[in-house]
Amino acid sequence: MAIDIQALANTMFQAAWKVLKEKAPDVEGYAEGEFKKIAQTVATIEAARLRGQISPEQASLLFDMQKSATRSVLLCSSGMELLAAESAVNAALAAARPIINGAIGFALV
Amino acid sequence: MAAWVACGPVRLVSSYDEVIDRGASEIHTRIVGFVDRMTGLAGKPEGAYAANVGFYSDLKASVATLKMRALAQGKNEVTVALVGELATNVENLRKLHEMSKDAGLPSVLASPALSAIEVNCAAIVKFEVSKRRGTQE
Repeated sequence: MAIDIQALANTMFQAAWKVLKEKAPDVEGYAEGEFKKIAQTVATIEAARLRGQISPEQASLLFDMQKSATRSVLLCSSGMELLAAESAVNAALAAARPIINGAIGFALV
Repeated sequence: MAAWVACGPVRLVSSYDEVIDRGASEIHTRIVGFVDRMTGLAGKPEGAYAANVGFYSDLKASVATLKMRALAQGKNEVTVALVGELATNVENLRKLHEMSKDAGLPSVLASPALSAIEVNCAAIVKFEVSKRRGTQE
């Protein structure tokens, strides 16, 4: 049975997005686009295997490569989540700085 | 001294590193060029694994150097892991080529393999560029 590329891409994206949407909404476009590419490639591998153009061992290695690509997208997304948290902390500190430093009388924050 | 330290911005992720950005882009260029050449030479002696072992040795060394650079910076775990994924797929590409022996790297193998490696490289560059934007903000 042929893989439904759109359904596969959506399934991957929705699973990741559940975790990412609150912490790093900026990664939506990137993650969605990359999962579409990976789903398309998985479908290409499946078609080549069904046509007998590649061996089971070759298909297995190619699927492993797509798994690594998927991990890369998730790692990059989690890194961007960290950057977003860093920006939030620094914005909060910048907002608090004049109030705290003014009250204390020296540059504490 | 304490006041000076307290004034610095909070860093959860290492700063932008141009060496990582350029290094990943250069490795990507080399792999794309190699795979394109190999698909054109598939089935010919020049495209066989044995004739191209040297490329994989050089590539492995370049990725190892990139990883060493990433490891040298603190709070850089994500980039280290991303370079690790690239190393995994470079090795998988080598295994695919080796497995095919004299047939080389026909498009049916090369295209999905390259697609995965492009995602690996793009993730490294995307994250590094995001660090630069974070620094500018």
